[in-house]
Amino acid sequence: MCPYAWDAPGGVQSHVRQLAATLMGRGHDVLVLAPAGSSAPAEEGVRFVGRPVRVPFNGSIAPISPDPSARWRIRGEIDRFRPDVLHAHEPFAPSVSMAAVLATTGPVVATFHAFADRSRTLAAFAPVLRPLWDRLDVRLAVSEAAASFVAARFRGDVRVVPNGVDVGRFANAEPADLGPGSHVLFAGRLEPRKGFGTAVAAFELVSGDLPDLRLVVVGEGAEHHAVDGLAPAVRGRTDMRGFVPEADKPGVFAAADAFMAPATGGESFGIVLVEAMAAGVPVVASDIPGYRGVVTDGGNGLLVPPEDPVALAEALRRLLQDPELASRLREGGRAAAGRFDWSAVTDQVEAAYGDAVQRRRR
Amino acid sequence: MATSEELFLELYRLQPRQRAVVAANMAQVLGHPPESEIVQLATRECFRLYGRYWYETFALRSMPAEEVRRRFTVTGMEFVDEALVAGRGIVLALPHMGNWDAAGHWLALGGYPMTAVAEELRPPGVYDLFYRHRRALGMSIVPLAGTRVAGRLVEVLRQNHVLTLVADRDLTARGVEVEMFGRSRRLPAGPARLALGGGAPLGVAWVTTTDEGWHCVIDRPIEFERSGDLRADVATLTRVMAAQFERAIASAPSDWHMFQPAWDDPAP
Repeated sequence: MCPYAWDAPGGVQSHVRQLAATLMGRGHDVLVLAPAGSSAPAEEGVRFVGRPVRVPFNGSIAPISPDPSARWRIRGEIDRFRPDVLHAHEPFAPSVSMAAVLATTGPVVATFHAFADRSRTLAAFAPVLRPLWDRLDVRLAVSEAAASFVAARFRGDVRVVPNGVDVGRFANAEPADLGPGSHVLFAGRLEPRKGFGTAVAAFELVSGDLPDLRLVVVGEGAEHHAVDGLAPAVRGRTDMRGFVPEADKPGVFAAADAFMAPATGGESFGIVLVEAMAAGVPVVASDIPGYRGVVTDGGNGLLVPPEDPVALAEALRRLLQDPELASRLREGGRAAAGRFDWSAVTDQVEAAYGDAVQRRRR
Repeated sequence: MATSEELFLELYRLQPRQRAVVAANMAQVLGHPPESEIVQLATRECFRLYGRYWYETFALRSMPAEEVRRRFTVTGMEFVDEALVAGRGIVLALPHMGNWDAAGHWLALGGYPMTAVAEELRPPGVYDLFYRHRRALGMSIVPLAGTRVAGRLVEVLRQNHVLTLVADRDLTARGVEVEMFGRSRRLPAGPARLALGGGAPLGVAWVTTTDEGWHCVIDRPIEFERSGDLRADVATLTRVMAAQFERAIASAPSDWHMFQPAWDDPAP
């Protein structure tokens, strides 16, 4: 059950898509239910139940909450498919997942993704949402951060099963040609929350000591002007690549000498960090809850305080001037990334399915 | 929107105990017994409107500004304007009604400097993340914790901000005893204390749900002469606030999102 529009981009949709594909590859019968716009192309194993409601927003799609008739279609699809387990992603979002949990009597596994930003509201709603919670046989969360929100509001265990990454695609990538010199990479939306300004400031600080270092930026956003304030000589060593297609990302990652992820907070999970680690790039990340679950400082990467360009610059300098450290972090990163490969993640999800079925048999 | 409302009506059917809590509150507000038809209908409506509010917490952020403006109507905005012209900010106390986040969003879109006081802070480890919803809606947030809060809020008023507090529930048990709908309960002293401390007017505002959006009423700020005894003044001001909350809730009982017992003592 995916609560958000299948034809809109988003972390939950992409998680459901990849998990379903891995499960099908292992021989499971999988049916995905999701809302989608009327022009969404049909896909094998996916049924669109209801359109995301357009009316309330004057043409702009709120990627949630199918029309009311969808509730009966959801019930019908579940009755016909008769799943052994129903897996509801983001079961509290007022959409397909919530409707399905209320409609089914069979075993239910739920995954909480990013409820972080609704923690206050969730607190107020918890008493009313409890019957829904009580129907979840096994509860999963994609990170400690996501788990702690729900665990603080409801009784019962929440297991952390991380987001998956296609590790092989990054580990086996042919490095792209980024030009001469060494390269530090920033990848993500160029906005304050991702810390792009901090990244640029840190690059400026190390640019004198490391004259052959270049800054490679993958991503777009309102903050791209941050590089305009750099001295011309330093500005000339930045490579703003804008949007890079998913297929080309592994090559760019694999060609970098260091990766920085200076987000200021609000990340419930560091997918981009795992991708960099899988590609064999040593990472420097901010010390925030979502990243702490992935990076062990000094073991598979370096952690620095968020919004601190001086600390970030210092960590980059250490990393780029100490090949032994870089190679240790690279190895640590590769090993850590393995835990997040879809095959490892799917093992844990399958175990959760088994436990949910067992729980009902008892 | 409709789906969320229907799902909450299902939750209404599924939990008799939660239903009884809301019905007891509605019985007190409406002056009829909990099992009466009018109270039962109002209770069901409470769940439906709660479902709508839940949906809106997901949808509001992606709603374009002009759409929020189109869906939002307000009366009494002149009281805010007058207060800001006077230059000492204004304290607006709200009950948990309608969608107060939508009201804050609307104010922020209108360019009003506004600060919301957040009442809940747990778990503290995820502290920085929980503002995101309101920050995304353009409000600045001051958490209600630590020792310097009062000072920071007075500073915010000095900067001529609209300071909003949701104030119909006393979380500290150190609130002021007031009477609402014929029974005593406690309300937080914060709004009165801040208004008196910062020299800002205190007004009550509330938000009700309309077919397509929200209506906000901002009452004329409470006219008040100080007695010189701060404690007595805080109590008096809080009691006037309670009377205005009462009027607000009576005007749209099912818009009051009170899913805990609103009165601690057992009903007489």
